[in-house]
Amino acid sequence: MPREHMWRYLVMAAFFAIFGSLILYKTFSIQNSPQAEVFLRQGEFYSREHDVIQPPRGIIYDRNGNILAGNRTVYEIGADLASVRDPHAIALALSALVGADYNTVLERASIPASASSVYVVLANYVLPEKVNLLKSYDVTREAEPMDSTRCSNDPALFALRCEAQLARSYPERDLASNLLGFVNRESLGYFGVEQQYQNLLAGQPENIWIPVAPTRVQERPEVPAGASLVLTIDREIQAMVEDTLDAHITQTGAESGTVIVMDPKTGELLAMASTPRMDLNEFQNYGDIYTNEVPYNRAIGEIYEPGSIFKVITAAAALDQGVVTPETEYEDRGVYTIGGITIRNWNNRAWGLQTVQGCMQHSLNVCLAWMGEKLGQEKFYEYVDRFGFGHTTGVDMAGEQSGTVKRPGDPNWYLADLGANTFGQGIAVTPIQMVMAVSAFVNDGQMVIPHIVKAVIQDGSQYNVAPQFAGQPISAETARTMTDMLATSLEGESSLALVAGYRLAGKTGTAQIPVPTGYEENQTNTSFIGWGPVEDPRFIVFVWLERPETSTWASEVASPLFADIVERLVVLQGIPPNFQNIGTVSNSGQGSQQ
Amino acid sequence: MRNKSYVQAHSQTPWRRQMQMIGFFAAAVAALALLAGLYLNVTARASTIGRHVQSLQNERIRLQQQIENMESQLASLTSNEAMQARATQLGFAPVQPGAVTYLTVEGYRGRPNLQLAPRAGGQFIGVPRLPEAYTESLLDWVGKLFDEYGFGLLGGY
Repeated sequence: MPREHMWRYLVMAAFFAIFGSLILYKTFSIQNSPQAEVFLRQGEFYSREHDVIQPPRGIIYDRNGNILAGNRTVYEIGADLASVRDPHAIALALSALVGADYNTVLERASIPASASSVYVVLANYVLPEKVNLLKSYDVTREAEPMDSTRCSNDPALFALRCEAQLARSYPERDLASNLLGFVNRESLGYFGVEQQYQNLLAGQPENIWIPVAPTRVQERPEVPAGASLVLTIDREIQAMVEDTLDAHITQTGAESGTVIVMDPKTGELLAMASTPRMDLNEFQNYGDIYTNEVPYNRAIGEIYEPGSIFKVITAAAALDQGVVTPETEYEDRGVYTIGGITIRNWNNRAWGLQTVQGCMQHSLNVCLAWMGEKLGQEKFYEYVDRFGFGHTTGVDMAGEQSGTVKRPGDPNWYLADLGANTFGQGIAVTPIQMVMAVSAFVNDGQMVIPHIVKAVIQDGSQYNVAPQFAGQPISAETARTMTDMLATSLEGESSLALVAGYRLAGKTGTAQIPVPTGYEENQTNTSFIGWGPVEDPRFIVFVWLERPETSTWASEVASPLFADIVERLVVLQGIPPNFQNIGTVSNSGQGSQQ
Repeated sequence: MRNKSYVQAHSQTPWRRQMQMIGFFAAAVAALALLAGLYLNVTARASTIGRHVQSLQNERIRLQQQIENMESQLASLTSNEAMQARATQLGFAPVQPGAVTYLTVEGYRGRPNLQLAPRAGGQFIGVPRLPEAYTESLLDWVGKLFDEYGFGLLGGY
């Protein structure tokens, strides 16, 4: 190398050395500058994307595995704002094919793309059929495949993105709607099972960060789906009960109706129906259907004065305390004065000498008021409490009411209340409370807690729900005596509640409806609660028709509804007849049970 | 004397020393290029597989949604209302109580309880996990090798 050129190499070497050193210095200084942390955070932020893994909501089955609530695919349609070419075309296509509002879509699709406005949602909960229309919008081009997030094959709609997601689906539509409840678009359960088991059904969503660099791809965590529930409800029985109830509401002109069917030994609810009902897939109509504070499920959410069906509680308490026996005699003079009020029988008639059996058979208010006073206020309300009135039953559905019971010592309680309460007036209960109370007559005095969930399926395992009992308000002997007395009563009255071939026990209830000024004239609540077959009870059936028009008497409107349900129920449950009762009942006369 | 002049002649040949330096430099560059190429190749393959894994994960989510959707569709097609309508169409009618003949079968306890999953406390089904070989980079793999054979100590453990 000629020495005269050596300086050139030295200059170049010095230049690169200094330049390299400056780069190293700058790199080092940036990494240790106060802004370094911000840069690192930004780098970290842009190296990954945030995502929320929403587990599928658990499925709700009936007791035979039929799906009552599942999930279906719906689409969120949005626009990648940087790719929007023609907002008018997008608005036109979405309004024509999807049914979205033209102006709203146009307004949103016209937002200029910026760092803060990248993507905008144009329509949500769009059904797959409508998305298919979009995907094949331009007939001259091949349709977009279903797994592509691009919505359309038309160049003017390339900015549209269709993201599939799961939404609640109710294949049986309005069947069992009162007990299921519904899920809104924010995946929150309302009413019934959906609300009660919201956390269990919804599962736990998980927030994850997905690396942008494909070399750093990570496995998506396994987020377990929400727990599935097997209900105690039998779909066929539920459908039969709803159909029968609707038919009787139409026949009687009743304002509303409620039916509960329960397995008395396990507390499993086989059916529960009330009106109105709604197609759960169109839950947005809730406000139009349930107006004026109408309860979503009357069986657990509406309290009413039960009337004479409550006499079974008074009679059971008196029998259990030994105050009376079925053969104890009482001279019914047609009136009974207690606490300054005069109590009369349902037909304002004196029935003369009656046994307790006769008092129940003819549903005599006077006799029951006498029985209540003989029992004493302290004992009477102790039994009311032991039978669970004034408390929720604990049934696993959202929206249960506890009822209203005035007790001695309460500022608004008077001795007259004792008289009225003995035959079910002046006390407010829910249908489910009546069913739970009566279950004591079937289970040797033990009350079973009604429940709707039979099993929970979580993390691949099934957890079966065992029956639970809510105490023993009466002895086993009293329970058997009550059942026998009420079965004999029905037979003695040739009640319209009887079903050929099956021995049943039960009681009618015709109750006046309270208003602020007293009680309504010519309007009643008619109900019936019964169980059978008496030898080995398989069901308790409670029916309630509110304000029927064809008759104000439960024996004429509620009893036939009970009989119609039981007649079909025994077939669906496969219960063979084994009792030769009077079979068909003459419609000529009204039974003397209220 | 002859020996000495020979050594001097060899060591004083400038082009030999330059060639030697160039040779070393070229070998270093070639080695670096080889490593870089290898790294690029492995990274590219990892990227491709990574994308494939991502698309499979998305596909799995899509299929899960499809299964849920189809289950709901099937439930709609076999709903009580649909089945009743179909039965009526085929000429069936609800059985009347008097028309039922009951047959007692000794030992038959009725329809068993629905069992959709093993009872709690039964068999545990483990969740399959993606092997690390599918996600680790070349450097991760080399680092693991170093750790495995104790070279990690050199790194200051």
